[in-house]
Amino acid sequence: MTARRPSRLALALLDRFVADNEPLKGDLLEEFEARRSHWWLWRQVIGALVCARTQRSLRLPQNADMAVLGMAMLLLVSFEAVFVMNVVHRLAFGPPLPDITGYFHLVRLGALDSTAGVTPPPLALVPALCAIAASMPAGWLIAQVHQQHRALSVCLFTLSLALCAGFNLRSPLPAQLVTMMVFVIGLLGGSRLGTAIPAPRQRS
Amino acid sequence: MNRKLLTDFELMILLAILRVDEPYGVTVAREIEATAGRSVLLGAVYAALDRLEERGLVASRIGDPRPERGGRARRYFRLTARGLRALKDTQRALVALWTKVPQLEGGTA
Repeated sequence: MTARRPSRLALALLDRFVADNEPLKGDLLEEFEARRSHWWLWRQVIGALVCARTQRSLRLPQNADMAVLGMAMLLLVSFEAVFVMNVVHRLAFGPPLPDITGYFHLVRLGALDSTAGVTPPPLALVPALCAIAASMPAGWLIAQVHQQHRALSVCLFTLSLALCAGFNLRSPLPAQLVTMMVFVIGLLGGSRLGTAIPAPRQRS
Repeated sequence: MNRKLLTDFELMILLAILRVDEPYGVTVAREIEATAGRSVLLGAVYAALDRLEERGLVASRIGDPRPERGGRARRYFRLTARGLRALKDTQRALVALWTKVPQLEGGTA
């Protein structure tokens, strides 16, 4: 008869995502050794992940910098997607619309098109929706990184994003690139600052 | 009144801590399962215990490493004086709500 072994993946998930998990992990192993099934173990691990999420003790990946950078790049790609859609729109529907790039183009496009009698293509909304979809997880991630001041960090992130987009509205390409780089560096610096300050934990 | 009352789960956890001999995650969860007849997630128990410890209602200490736990130690809990007071406050509030309810006194709804 072979000894039962708990799922290594389940335990790895606990290690990866639940902070201060040693007593919980020990309890799960003790119960599993005593009488519990694999199904019970998985249910407990998934429950612990959900509880850690609601308790805000979810452990971030060690390389949070990379996650923040990935989110930032996703945002920048969405900027460029809007730009590409502008070009496509100009080619397909008439004369160029000068000096208009970035998210706000979609707002201006509606105003200009109403006077020109041209209806904006519904496809142009896709990049905007992508941008929103990209910025929401980015905001969540920033809030997770900055455990101590979640609301403040989300507000600052939103403000920085709005400033970046606003600046890009009428800027030449080199200035746009510089703004984007400053935006990414700011995200990285902020996340590094947030993770450098450990959350206080009392244990008697 | 400013004092925050306990939720039903917190109440069960504090009572379970008082009822079992060696209160740690497993025994607390088993006690709730046995008395309340509901299935309990250990993660939820620890999440609630962490919350209660932050509020100063329970205190914890780490025991010795044990082989059946892969060399990991148990985390034992005890009620603080503040926790006991919170328990009594909640009991008083619940008893006060429970009394003088005509629908509950006659045996029929």
